[in-house]
Amino acid sequence: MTEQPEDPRERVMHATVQCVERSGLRGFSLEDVAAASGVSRTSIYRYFPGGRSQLIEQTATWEIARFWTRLAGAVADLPTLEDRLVAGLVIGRKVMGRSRILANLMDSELRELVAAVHPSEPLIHGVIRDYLRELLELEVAEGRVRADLDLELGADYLTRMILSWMGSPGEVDVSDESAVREVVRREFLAGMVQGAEQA
Amino acid sequence: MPRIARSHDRAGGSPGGEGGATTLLVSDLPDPTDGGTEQRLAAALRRCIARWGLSKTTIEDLAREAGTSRATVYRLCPGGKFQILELAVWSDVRELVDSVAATVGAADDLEDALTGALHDAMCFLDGHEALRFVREHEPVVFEQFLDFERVEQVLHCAGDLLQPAFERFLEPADARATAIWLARLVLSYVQTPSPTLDLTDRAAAARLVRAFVLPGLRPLAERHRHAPTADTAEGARHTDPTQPSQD
Repeated sequence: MTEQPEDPRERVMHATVQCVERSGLRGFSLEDVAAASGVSRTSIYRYFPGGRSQLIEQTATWEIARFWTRLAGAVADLPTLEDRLVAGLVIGRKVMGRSRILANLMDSELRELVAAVHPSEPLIHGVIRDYLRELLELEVAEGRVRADLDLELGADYLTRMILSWMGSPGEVDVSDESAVREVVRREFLAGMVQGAEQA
Repeated sequence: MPRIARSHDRAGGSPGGEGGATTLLVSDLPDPTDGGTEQRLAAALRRCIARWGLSKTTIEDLAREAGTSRATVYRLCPGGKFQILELAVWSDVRELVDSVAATVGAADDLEDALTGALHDAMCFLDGHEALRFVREHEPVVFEQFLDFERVEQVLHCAGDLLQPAFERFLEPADARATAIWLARLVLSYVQTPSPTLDLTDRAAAARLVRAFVLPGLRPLAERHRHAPTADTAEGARHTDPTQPSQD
């Protein structure tokens, strides 16, 4: 988190995240971002001609994409889809729990953030779905997922479950790996494994 | 009027913190059939939203639509239109979940119950004109309203109200988890409709249930079937006609 990205545009967004963590969504100015990133105010406007609102919108999307990318990286070495889903949920919830942004923003600021993220949601869904589709293909090749699974439908279903559980774990303790594994087996994967009946 | 308190203080605990601490008692839920002025206001709000959306609806509109005065609106709902919105939404949640519970109660078997529950809920929400307007024209308002915390409350509420219905087929803890699972799916498909799977079509709902829900529940239903029967009329849950009755 401390090292600065090389690309100046990313450096600006990185600095924006730090400013929001420190001062909330409304408590910082573009001068603060300029100072934290080492990129001049004029240049910031060149990268984000829409000014502050564009900066916030694109930074929010960038940060969410980074969250999922890092999560995929953290589970990349695990051998099965089940292992990746279990670890992904446990780690993802832990990261969210530690997020100073989510913890410190006021309700009105969170609403602003939701509005900022809204336009890029289909894109984020699509990226997660494609990632899961590839993993499902691998699982089919390994013989862990039934060969007649409709991969599009399966990937879409898993995307929905992951997004739902990541946001709202309900009554399950998501820091307990064995509890999460039980849920993943039953609610995520039971219909996809070898031997499950056809849709 | 019933107060839908959000006991979880965002400043105190992070929304990412486990446990959620969002308690919403079912007894707090407004009764959609009570016919009082609050419910008239909730109905007025639904009509206004269906016509021109939440953002453009004013307290004057609501008072006029409900046939009452601004002063009465503010006396009953000092929180203004957002308080009435809470009332309207939770009345709808209750009506929806009660109707789903009836469907589950009348189902032939677990598969029929799951399919019926999903299909019912999606049809109810699809036919909700105010919700449709907001989803089409005020999607950001919709997302802002349905934040992580409120989703937790809806899941919890579905667990409370639907668990007894699913206990026909599953052990209590499994019945509760299943109710919450279905609520997740409903919320997901309402927030992000699928271009290929229209769950207001019963065949599509059946396909989803058979593909992804039933396989995970089958062992649990099996466990329930063989669980020791409680000493009450609960024994009637084993209504498998092929099994000889044991008295």
